Amino acid sequence: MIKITINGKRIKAKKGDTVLKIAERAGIRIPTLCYHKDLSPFGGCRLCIVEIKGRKAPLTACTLYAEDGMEIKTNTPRLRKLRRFTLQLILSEHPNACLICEREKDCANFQECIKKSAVTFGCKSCPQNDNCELQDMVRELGVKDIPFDFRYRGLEVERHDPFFDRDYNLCILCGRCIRVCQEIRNANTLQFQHRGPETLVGTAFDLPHLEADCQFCGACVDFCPTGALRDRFSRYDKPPDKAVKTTCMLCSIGCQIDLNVSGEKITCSTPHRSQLCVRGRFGIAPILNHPKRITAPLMKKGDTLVEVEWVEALDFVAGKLHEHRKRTGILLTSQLTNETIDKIYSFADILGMKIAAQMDSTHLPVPLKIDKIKGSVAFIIVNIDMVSDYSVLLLKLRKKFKKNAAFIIIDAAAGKTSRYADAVLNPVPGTENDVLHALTGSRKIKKQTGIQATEIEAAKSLTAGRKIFVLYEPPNSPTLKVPKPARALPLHSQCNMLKFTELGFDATQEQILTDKSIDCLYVIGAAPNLTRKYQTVIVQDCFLPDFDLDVFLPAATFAEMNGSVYCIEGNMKKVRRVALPAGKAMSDDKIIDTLASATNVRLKKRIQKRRPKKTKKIVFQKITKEYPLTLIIRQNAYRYRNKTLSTILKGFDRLRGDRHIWLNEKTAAKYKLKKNAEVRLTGRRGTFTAPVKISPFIRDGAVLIYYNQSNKDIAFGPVRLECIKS
Amino acid sequence: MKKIENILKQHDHRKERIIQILNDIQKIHNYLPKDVLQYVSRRLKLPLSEIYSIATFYAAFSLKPRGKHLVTVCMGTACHVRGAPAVLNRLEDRLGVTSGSTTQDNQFTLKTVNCLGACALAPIVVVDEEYHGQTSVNKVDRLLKTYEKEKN
Repeated sequence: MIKITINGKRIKAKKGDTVLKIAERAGIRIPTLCYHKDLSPFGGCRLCIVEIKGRKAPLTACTLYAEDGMEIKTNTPRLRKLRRFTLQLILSEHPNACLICEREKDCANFQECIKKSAVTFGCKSCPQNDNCELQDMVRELGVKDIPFDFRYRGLEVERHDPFFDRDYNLCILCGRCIRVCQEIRNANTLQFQHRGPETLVGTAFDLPHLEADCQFCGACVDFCPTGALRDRFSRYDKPPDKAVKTTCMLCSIGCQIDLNVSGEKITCSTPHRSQLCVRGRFGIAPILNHPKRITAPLMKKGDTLVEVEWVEALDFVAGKLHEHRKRTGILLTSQLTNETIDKIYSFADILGMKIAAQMDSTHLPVPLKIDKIKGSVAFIIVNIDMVSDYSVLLLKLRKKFKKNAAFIIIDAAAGKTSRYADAVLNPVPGTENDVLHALTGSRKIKKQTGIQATEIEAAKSLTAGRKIFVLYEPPNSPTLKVPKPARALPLHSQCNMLKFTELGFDATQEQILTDKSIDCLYVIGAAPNLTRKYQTVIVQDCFLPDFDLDVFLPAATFAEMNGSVYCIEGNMKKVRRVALPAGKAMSDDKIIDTLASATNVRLKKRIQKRRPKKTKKIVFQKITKEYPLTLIIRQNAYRYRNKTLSTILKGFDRLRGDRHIWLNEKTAAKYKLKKNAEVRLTGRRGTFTAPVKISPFIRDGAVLIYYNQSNKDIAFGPVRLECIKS
Repeated sequence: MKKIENILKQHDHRKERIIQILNDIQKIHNYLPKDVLQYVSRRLKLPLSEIYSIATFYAAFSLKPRGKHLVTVCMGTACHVRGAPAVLNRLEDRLGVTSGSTTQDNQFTLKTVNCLGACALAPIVVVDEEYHGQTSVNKVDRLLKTYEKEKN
C-alpha cells in the first residue's frame, strides 16, 4: 500500500497502479482519448498529462506509475492550456468544420440528409455525431478555434469489406483498434504503418480485411473514439435512445449483448461487458430488420400465398392439427426460449404429435464445464474451426489458461484456427480417430492417416505433463471416440440445444421425414429438405422456406420476446423483449397458446421425457478409383431459424463462402479448376453442384462443404468431381 | 526459401531479432518480397501486420524491388543549406526518375534521407554504402559515370 495526493486529496493505492487508474477510482476526472480501461496504456494522445511536485515537465497519467508520497495536480491553468493546445493539434488533422462553427446548433434540422454525404467534412456529416469522444472532449476542454491549417489527408474511404466502413481521414491514431485487435482478440489484423505524418492504421500489405485474417468481431469499431470505423448497417441512424441487455441466440455460447434502440428500430448490437463474434455484432440487427422478413400470416389459396388475418390462419392450423393429430410431425429448431419449447412439448404431448429436433444425430449435447478445468492443460481440437464458430469460447480459454494451455488441431480442413494453434495435424479425412489415439495413447500412427511419426512426436511433446481435453462437435466427427486418459468436451453449435438434452425428442429430422405414417408437418424454425408430398405443411418462422407450404405463421425474433435459454456452460440466461414484434408477427409461445385454446387443449407444466431411437453409425468408406476424393461436411453454425446467414445477408456470404465447395490448390490444379468454376460432386448417395473456392488449409484430396439445405443428399465419404462450367 | 531458413536459423528463430532478420533478407533480395515476409511470419509465429509495420517504419527497408545501385541524397538541414536540392534535382534529371523510385533498366534507385549525421561533409550523397562528401552538381555527373561504366 502506498499513499499519494491528487489535487490535495490523500488517496491510498496499490503499488503498480497508474495515476490515471487511481484518480479514476477516486472519482477525479482526467481527460483521455487514447486510454481505454480494458487496454494497455499507450500514452499517445497526451491529454491525460498531470503535474507532479518536484518534476519540471508534466507527464501522462496513463503511463505514470504511482510512487509513495507523490503529489499530483490534474487541473492547473497550465495543464488546461497544454491540453487545449494538444487537442487543437489533433483536430488539425480531423475534419473540424462543425466543431468550431458558431451556428452549430442551427443546422440540426438538416442533419438527416447531410449525414448521407459521401465525404465526412465535419460532425454533421459524420455517422458518429453526438456519439463521439472527440466531440465530447472539445466541449469539455472548451476548444473554440483551431489556429493551425487544416490538413485533410484525402484517403479513400475503405468500403470493399463487409460489415464496416473505414474512413481513416477521421482517424486520430489513438491505436485503440490496434490494441484491442492484439491484446483482447489476439487477431493482429491491424497495425500502424509508416511513420511521422504518414502514419496510418491498416492491415499488412494493405490487404482487404477479408484476406488479412480479420474475424469481423467488430471490437475495433466499438473501441474507436471517432467515426473512422463505422458499422455499415447503422451508420445513418441516430444515436441510440436506449440499450437493453439480452442474450445473443445465434450460437450456443450465450454472449450478453446490448441491443441499441433508436426510435422503434433496433439499430445494432454491441457487446455487454463481453466479446462478440461477427454473428452477434453484425448479424442481429440486419436479421431483425431484414426486408425479406415475413410479418403477416400467409395462406395458400389456389396456387399463390395470400395474406390473411391471424384468426383465419390459426383456425385453419388448429383444424388441421386436430384432424391429423398422431400423424403430425413437429420439426423444431433449438433457437427458441425454454418457455416456448416447454409449451410446444406440452402441446405435442396432448395431441400426440411427434417432435424432431433439428439435429443430425441422436447424440444429446452436454454442458461444457470450463470452470472445472484447472491446471496445465492441452486442448486437442478435432474438426472444428474454433475461430469462426466458437471464437468467443476460444478467447475465454486463451485468457483463462494463458501459457498454461497448448492447442493442437487435428483437422483435414484446419481453417483460420491454425494461426492460433501450437501444432496442426492435417490427416486424411476419416482417420482423425487413429491420429487421436496415436497422440494420446501408445498406439503407433498408421500409414493411411498421412501423418508422419515425427509430427506426432512433436505434438505429443506438447501434451507431456498436461491434462488432455478433446474438443469436438459430434456431427462433424461421427466416428470419433475419445480414448482415456484424455477427457472429451463435446460442443454443440446451436443456442439452447441443451433444452433437448433435458426433454429429449422422438426422432431425428431424417427419421420423421422418412416416416410414412406422417402426413402433416408443423415446421417451427427448422430447415428440412422435403422429398415427398404432405397433406398439410405448416411453417412458423421469420423467413419463407424454399419448399411448398400451406400456411405461414410469422414468428417474432428473439429480440421481440421474453424468456430464458441455456448457454453452452449449462447455466440459464435471460432473453429480453427489446422491441415489439415487427408487423403482425407473434412470438412463438403466444402462437402455441392461441393454438392450444383453439383446439381446446390445456397446456400442462409436466412434460413427458422422450427418447429418440438410435441412428445408424456412419462409417467412413475408403476412396476408390471411381470416387477419388473424400468429402468433409461441416455443420453450418451460422444460421438463424430456417435460414443460414449467408443466404439472407451478403456480408456473411462473402466472409464464409459456405455455399461453395472448398478445395486445396493442388486438387484444383489436378482438375484444372479456377476460382468460382461450377463443379458437381457425385457421391454414392447423391450429387451436389456449387462454385469452387480454394483454400490453403484443406488437405490435398479432400473436399469441404458446409451443411446446407441444398446439399442434404450427399453424405460424408468418397466422391467424384466433375467440372461443369469453368 | 532455403536461404531464408538459414537466416532464421542464424537468429535462432527469435521474434525479437526481426529487424536483423529483415536486414539480412534485404541483403539477399535487395528488397523485402511479400512471399518471403509471409514465410517469416509463419515460421516465427509473428503476425504479418507487425512485420509489415516494421518494414514500413524504417526507411532502410524497401518493399519494392530496388535497382542495382542505391543512391541516397541527404536532405538534412546542413546539406539543404549547402545545395542538396540542386544535387537531387540533377540526379533526378540524369536518372529520369523522381526520388523514391527506380530507373527502368533497374540500375539505380534514388532515395532521400533526412540526416546521415555527417554534416561536416555536406552536401552528402551515398552510393551503395560509399559516402561521397561535399558533392556538387558536377561531381554528381562524374560519380554517376563511374557507376555507369561499371555496367559496361
